[in-house]
Amino acid sequence: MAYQNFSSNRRTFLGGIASASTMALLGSLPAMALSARSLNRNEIITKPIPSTGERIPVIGMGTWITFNVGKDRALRDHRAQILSEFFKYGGGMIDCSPMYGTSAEVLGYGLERIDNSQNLFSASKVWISKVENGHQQMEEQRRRWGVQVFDLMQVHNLRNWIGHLETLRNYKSRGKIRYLGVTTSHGRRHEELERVMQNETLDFVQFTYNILDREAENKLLPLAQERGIAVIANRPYRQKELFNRFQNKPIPQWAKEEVNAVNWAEFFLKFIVSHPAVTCAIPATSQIPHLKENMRAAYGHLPDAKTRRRMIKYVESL
Amino acid sequence: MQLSMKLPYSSEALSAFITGYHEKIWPVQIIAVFLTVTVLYALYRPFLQSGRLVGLVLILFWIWSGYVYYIREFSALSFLAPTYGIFFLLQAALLVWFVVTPNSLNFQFARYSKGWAGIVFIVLALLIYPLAMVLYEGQWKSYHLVGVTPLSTALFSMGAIMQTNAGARLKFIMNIIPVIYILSSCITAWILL
Repeated sequence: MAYQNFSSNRRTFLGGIASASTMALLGSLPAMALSARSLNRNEIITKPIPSTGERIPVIGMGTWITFNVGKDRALRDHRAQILSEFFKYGGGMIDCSPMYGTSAEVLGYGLERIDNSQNLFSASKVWISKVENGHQQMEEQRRRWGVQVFDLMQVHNLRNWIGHLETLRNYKSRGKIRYLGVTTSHGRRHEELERVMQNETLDFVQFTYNILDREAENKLLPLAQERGIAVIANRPYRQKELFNRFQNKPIPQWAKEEVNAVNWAEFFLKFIVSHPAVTCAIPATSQIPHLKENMRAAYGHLPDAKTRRRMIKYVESL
Repeated sequence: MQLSMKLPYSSEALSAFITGYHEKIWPVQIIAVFLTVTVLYALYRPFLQSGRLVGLVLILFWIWSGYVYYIREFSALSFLAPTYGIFFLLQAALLVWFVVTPNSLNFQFARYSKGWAGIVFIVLALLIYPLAMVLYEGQWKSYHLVGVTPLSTALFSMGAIMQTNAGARLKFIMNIIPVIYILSSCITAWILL
């Protein structure tokens, strides 16, 4: 599904921001200021996919663990609410994988029950050894999501990437997918990923990048820029580890004033998506308040190079 | 870059899964309870062929936990489930080997240190672990019942195996999979909690 005009969601988004503002009003002054600025700005930050120029919001959503809730009706309904809120706040990309258990099925359940998923940018993966079984796996994923075509199909963790990329190229030429890519995570197999990026034509690449895991800055991110490949940053919080480590530490006043980062989620995410080579980050959550914090990172200012260095220095000093 | 051990599901999803699983397999739980009581009785008051009966019930429990719980049901939630299932079926095969052969093992309550240790495992399986989970999850619907849920089954089996007249080597072989599984469950619990 092509990404469409975000302004159609403006009214809904204003409503969401209004609620968030009320909460902020009860909290700190900088938070109130952010909400006011967001109301004025009223635009979600998007970045272009280099291969086509199509723009997508800088904050997407991952589904690892959080959407793998099995058949439980109450949990599924709650995830449908998460989806609805995600789109209400202007979200677009949702990333999943056959490795994530029932996540695809739960996504499909939710997408069927909400009426504001027009901006969905569906991203899934193929994760199987045999190429011939890849067709069946991707078709099964498509059926579970309930989409006509996937916007993006990626080879998960570079598993048999040579064979699967061939299939994906074929799918793309026949309009069965719109973009193709490869993924890795946890900083694994960067050298191999680098070779794939250098030698293959890719629309997207996905790997781990966050304020503590910045190894990708050395080679992968510059290479993505050079080769015109969109970058999806996974593990933006190292699962929950960054929160566990820093949640009791104060957010510096300059971060609140300069980049509207009033909480750690915004601080971490704005750092990631402000890298010129990063197209979007995909935090996962099963809680609506956390989702709202994530989505607020897609509004307001992004840090410039100088502020990014200051953010790193600050985090490393804690 | 930091590596982390993570499971593809949360404790919330696991609890919901077990609740749904119990609803789906009902009334198999009644049979499991009946068979568990039969094993306890046979251990306490052995009778002709009671050792074989205990062994056969344990085989049934391991097959159920391996095939129904892991391979058929839990694989929807975790890609690791079929691997666990295979190990459970392997343990069932081991028990078949030891129980159905002519010199089958004799299971009965043994009044020596390892026998008492076995009783501790049985009490853990029947009461302590499931009740601790009920307290943690705040509901009875996801009770970890011996025979149909894997960790209770592994703990119960270890307790029963410790009551056999088998030699140390045989007991060691029969306890390899249960011990590894119990340890891996401890790691799972540590990750989830």
